Amino acid sequence: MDDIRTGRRFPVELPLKILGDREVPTGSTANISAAGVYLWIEGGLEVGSSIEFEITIPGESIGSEESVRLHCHGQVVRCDLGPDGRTGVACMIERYEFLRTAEVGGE
Amino acid sequence: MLKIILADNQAIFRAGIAKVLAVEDDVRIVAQAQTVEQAMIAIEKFRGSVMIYASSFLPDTARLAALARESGIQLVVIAENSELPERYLNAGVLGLIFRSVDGAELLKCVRKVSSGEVYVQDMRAVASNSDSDDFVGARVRDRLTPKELKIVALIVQGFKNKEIAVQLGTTEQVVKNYLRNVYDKIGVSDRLELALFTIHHRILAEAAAASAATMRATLPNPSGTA
Repeated sequence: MDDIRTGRRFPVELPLKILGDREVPTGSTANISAAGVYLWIEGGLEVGSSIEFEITIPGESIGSEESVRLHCHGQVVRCDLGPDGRTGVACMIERYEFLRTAEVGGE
Repeated sequence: MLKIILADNQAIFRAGIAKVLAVEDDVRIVAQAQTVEQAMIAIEKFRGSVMIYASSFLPDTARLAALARESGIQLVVIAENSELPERYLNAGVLGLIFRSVDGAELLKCVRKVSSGEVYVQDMRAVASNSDSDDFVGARVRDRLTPKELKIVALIVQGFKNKEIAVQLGTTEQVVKNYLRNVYDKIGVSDRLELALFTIHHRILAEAAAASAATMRATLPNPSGTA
């Protein structure tokens, strides 16, 4: 299979949660580029489905007292069975927005 | 015979480690994995080995450690310079080295781990070398002006251009101009790639944060001007 990824991928492990109607446990990123992200999550997602998720960038990694959230909309392009049944999910990022804590209700 | 599995998607690094270990009579590289699937197969097939793997290649440490335990495999992780050893040691990984490790220390680590002992490369030595190790981050940091560093800090902290303009006491258009220069200097295409680059290069993130902190200390009340 051809590698269709574009942009530099950064091996950055950050916590994330999948948003939407379905209850999906939190997961983490394995690597991210500006165009896509590879996630580890519990359970599976349907290839081709839309996905909305939020990645947390901890304050300490950016020299800030507050964490920043990266709110993303995208599409699932591949699912791999990982060790012990976790699923590796490759997603295309279609749009994103940075959210500061103050913008999300001071949570 | 000490059996070694190398698992890393960086072929050059695998080759380097293999070269160091190949000269040892009692060490044999039994498998080299460049994909997660190959790594899983090697764990199943070569029970009782020591697996040297990159943290970015197999990021799910807890699950990898569980599989390794089942197969009697001892793990040595090649960690990124910014990572702390506790999360690996707590999961059951016995060895932790960084990409800056030299041949002698790598061998020492592998031998200790194969006999069930913990070995962690000295963090202080890594920290003292971190500036020179992260050539890319240091080079970018040195190319950016103080104002550009402030803008980088505000971008990764999630501020929008308009908010950055208020913080800097300038216009949104000027911020856009600065950003275009920053993108060109770093070689990124948008604010997400800029943020990822900065998070990945701690040396740049620290310089940017320090620059923003200086700005906050010198400006009277940026939020009050919004």
